[in-house]
Amino acid sequence: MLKPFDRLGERLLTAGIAPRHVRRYLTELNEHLDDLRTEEKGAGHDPEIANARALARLGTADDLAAAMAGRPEFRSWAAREPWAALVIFVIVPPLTLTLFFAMTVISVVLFVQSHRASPFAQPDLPGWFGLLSATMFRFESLVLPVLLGWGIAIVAIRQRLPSFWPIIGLAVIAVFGAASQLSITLPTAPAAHGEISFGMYLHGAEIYRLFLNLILITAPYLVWRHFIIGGQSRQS
Amino acid sequence: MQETKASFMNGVPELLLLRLIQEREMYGYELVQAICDQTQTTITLGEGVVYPVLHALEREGALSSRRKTVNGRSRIYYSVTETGSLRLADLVTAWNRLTTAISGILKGQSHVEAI
Repeated sequence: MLKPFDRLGERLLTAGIAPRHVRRYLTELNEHLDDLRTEEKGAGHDPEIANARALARLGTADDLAAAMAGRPEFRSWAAREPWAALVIFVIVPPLTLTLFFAMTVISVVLFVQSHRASPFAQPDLPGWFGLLSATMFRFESLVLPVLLGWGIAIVAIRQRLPSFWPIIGLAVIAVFGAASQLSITLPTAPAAHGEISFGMYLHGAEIYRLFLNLILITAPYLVWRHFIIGGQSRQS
Repeated sequence: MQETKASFMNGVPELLLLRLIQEREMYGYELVQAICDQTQTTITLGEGVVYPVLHALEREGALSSRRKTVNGRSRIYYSVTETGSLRLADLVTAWNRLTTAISGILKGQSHVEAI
């Protein structure tokens, strides 16, 4: 069942008002409505009439929406600066993934170097290090792109943004995540080199990963969007 | 009862709210009731529209808010900050000049001080 101000909330979010301002507004409207109901009941009206009178006193949906939507200071960053959606959804996620790759590679190299007695000695690495580095690389190749994609989806849905830039961003992170190949071979003999390789290619197994990424990353967004935004359109 | 026309209300809600909250910490419902009581319902509002004004004043630093429970009911109470007091003084000055100017016109005075 819809709460009294659910539609107002959707209307404000769609108008570009930031979710935190909408939440605060609806909270105070609900509390005000409680006070008005109590007052109307105290004046002798039965609960149904008291509720109707309280809602009427609070203002029409149009007035309540206009009072908030007419104030640009409450708009979300995406509504104030439409170009920011391109940066946040399409440019930032691949950069974040690259940054994580770079930080992991640097950490591994520094760790290995710090465990050599001399520059050409075999590093004395603890047993857990190989497993840890392999797990980190797997996390960054397989899990992190999906988490970044879900992050894009959450921001886009919370702010009820048009789907163009979020979809582009989800597709970019799915491709970038599938095509990025990072692997490590630790040195196992004195004077032997370890190997860290990074490449971008899409063939064979990466194509399957791309499909998997697309399903894991875009499907939740599309389903979520269908139920939340599509559901509101059907109700109005 | 007719609601007061919005075009005549520009800047007035801020003035009234700051003035009332300056007396004591209040929450939205109390504020609207106070406005209705003190203006003998000359000024009536769609009561919910007061919140965007309060939020905007808070954002500007003129008001601060805190959640407080009184008689088992938790509400967001607003109080005036130092910036709010200065803003209120400016609004009162501007309002007094405006009403003086309008009174002058209504009384048919030839010279009205520039606003």
